[in-house]
Amino acid sequence: MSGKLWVDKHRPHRLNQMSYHDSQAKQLIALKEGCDFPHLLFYGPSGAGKKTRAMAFLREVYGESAIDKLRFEHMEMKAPSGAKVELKAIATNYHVDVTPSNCGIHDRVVIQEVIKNLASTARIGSGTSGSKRFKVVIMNEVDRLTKDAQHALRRTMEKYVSSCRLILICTSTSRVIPAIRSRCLPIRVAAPTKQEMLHVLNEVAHKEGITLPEDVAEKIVVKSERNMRRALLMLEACHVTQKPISKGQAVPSLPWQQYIQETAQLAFQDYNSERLMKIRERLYQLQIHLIPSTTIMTTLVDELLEALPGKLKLELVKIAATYEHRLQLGSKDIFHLEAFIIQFMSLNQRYKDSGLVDHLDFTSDMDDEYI
Amino acid sequence: MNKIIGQTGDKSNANKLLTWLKNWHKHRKLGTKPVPSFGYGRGDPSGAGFRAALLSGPPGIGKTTTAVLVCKEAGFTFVETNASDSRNKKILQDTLKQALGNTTMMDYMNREAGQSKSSHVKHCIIMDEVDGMSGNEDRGGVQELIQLIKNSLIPVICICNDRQHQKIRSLGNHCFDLRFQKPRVEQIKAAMSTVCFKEGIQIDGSSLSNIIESSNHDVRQILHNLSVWSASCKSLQGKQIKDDSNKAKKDFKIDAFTACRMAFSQSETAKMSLKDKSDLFFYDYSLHPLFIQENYISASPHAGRDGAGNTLHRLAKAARYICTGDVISKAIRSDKWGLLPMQAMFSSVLPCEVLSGHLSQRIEFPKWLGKFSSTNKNSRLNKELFTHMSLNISGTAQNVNMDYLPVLKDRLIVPLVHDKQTDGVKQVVDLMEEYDLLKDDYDNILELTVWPGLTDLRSQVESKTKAAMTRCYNKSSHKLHYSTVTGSLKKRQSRASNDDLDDEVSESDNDSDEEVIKALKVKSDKSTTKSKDSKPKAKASSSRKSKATDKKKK
Repeated sequence: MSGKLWVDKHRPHRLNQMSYHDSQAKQLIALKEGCDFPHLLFYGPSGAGKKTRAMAFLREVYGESAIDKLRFEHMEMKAPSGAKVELKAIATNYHVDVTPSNCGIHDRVVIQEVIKNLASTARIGSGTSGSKRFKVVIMNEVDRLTKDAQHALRRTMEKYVSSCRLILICTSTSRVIPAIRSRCLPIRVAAPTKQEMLHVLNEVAHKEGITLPEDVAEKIVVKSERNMRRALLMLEACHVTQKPISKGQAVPSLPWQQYIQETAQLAFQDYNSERLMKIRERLYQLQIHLIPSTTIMTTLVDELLEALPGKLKLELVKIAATYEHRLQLGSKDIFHLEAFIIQFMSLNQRYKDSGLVDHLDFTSDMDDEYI
Repeated sequence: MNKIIGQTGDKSNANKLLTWLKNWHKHRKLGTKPVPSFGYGRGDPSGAGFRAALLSGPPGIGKTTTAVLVCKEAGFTFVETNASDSRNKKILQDTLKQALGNTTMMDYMNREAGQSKSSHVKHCIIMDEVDGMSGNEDRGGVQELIQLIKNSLIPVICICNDRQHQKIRSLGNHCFDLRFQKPRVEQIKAAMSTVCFKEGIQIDGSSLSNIIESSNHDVRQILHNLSVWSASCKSLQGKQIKDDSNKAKKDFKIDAFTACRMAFSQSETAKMSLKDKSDLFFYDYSLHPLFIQENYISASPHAGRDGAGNTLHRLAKAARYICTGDVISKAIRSDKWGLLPMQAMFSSVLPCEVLSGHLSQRIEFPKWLGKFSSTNKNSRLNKELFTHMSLNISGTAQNVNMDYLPVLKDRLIVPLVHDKQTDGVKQVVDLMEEYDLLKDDYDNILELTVWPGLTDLRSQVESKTKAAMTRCYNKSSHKLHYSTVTGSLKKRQSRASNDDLDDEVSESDNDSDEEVIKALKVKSDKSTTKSKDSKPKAKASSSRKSKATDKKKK
């Protein structure tokens, strides 16, 4: 057991090696044949293979040897306010890979500077033939860019189109402004199906020379929520903790998942102020471990839903939706997460007090208070 | 002296000051060392050994008066400076230094004449309003004052209002700490009645109490008010005085803890108008909402005493309001400051109204601030890890944290626990190389993956194995094919790749001292290669340097 993690070791490098979405791979190859291609927008859930496909596509365009000579670049820019903005990028002679959303509110400057720098310096000796005329900018997490940055992007995209192509990557197009969406060729990379995932897992297991019982593989697929990256990492975690993997072995949840689940269990118990304090402390711990608040919320809801009777499920989802919305509107996440839990405990209490009657009318009491 | 309001007792501050002043010269001769008091009330109650005293308390309760009278009582002459005098470092040095080392002319002449000994006439300095020593004018004043006190040959009495001020705190360490409390109503009342009688003013007891309370026990203010109102009419009566005293009500500032306690307390808020309640929010509108949020869970509403469930429902309601308050505050930050009164309602008034009663626990300082900064710190670490790994992985910083790290942690530490032989160490170091991880990153990964309640494998790794790992890592680190560097080193690296790198040490000379020290350490490490892993940091930097040179050679 040595070398990289399996998830990186067995990542396909060429489009024709892709384990799923075959027809899409063919289309991308065809796109490359045309010597020129428009700006691309890869979108799809986390761990579906967006970046893998984008990189494979670049290898098709520029050749494997050119793209694998990665180097690390450190850029420094000055924001209009005078603040220094630092950006770390991965680059080759043909492309730059940046994550401008890491710069927080200064992402607009990054976008303007990076693209302008890149586009204004044409490659020497590249001539005008073929696709090597232009460079490519890969931009990650476009959906986390501020609105300002996105607006800055839309004009630059058109202006420098002759010398620079963009490949945008995001998980959700709903937070990308329509102006950008319309300027790109959108490519949806859907999460792999269960069958596809099983296939990949078995393939990796085979290459590593380990036996993977079918039931464990299926458990991994369920636990990973059809996230290929997570599935492969989980497979490896199973392998690290117990060799060889035996039939019926439990697949542990990720530590943060476990922690959220335990927190949800606390919310089911009776109320007292110490318990609330404990829950609050746990929420803080999750924040400190950088688990996104929306993930905390959805995992909590999933966990709570399982143990609730029908009528309450509806109410719970209603509360959750309200507070998820407020998370986006507000600034201090913990307030909203905590409020959500207290609302739930209050709801549950009401239900218990009412003697488990079927037709409870919770709504009358609560609706007017959702200010 | 015994006529100072509230300072008549045996253990009063005035009395303490008097004893301290009287014994000052005696202690100087004995060379008594001061007993520093960590926290008020501890330490030596007589303040023996301190060269200076610090009188603190709210205005108008007789601090300056006490100081002056005590000096007279003890037979000291005094020089007084206050905020109207410029008191920067230079001026203090010039004027006071002379005074502090001096004997008076009178004294001198008396001695000449052989009539009296110098100990009969003594003098001291009163520094009034020391908390006013700030701003450009008085720069360095407090520091200079502390220096002067350390070498003073005569007692110094400092007076201030705000004991908790940053500058005063450092001064306080060198002074005999005397804190003046506001005198109680009865104490003031007795004295005021005397004054009224002398001035021929007729006033009834309750009106007098009203005046005293409305000026927040500030004796000076009370006297002023009395003299104004009695100017036209010598007999002051009930309703009239009530109105007047309400008008004259002194605005006083309360701290965030008190504001929070008052907001939840039913007995306090019962008398308040809506505006008063929202004013509690405005004492500190950025901190108050955090206080409310931190403490609302421990509130026990008086209206909800009929069951835990009821309290829970009230809490839920309050939580809803607090959430709305947060949403509003975000809107405010995007330049809609007009919404501030609205936030006051939702963040403070409404939740406190719902939970009105009392707080069952001690008021906590908002944890949010601390947690926020540790979240930021971790986020920074995570981003750094992500940049280091980013050549070899695909995904975002978030994916690294949520998916990679748990597995990476297992691969990095399980071999160290189970395969104690070199094999385990080698596996770990190999993996670190694959992902271009530094030793610091290794520690950071383990740090980020610690969860309360989960066994921390770090403690199970023997220190021998750890040392072996560090050694192994340092030995092989030059194999890294590309370099990730952080902080100031990064700057040097970028320079190194651009500029000549003939002389590394001279290069680092330009950098901060720390860098120089590091470079020296590297040197010594190179010469004495077997200094084990006592300086992993320096070694890491040496490996980085070798990387830099590698790169250059390419």
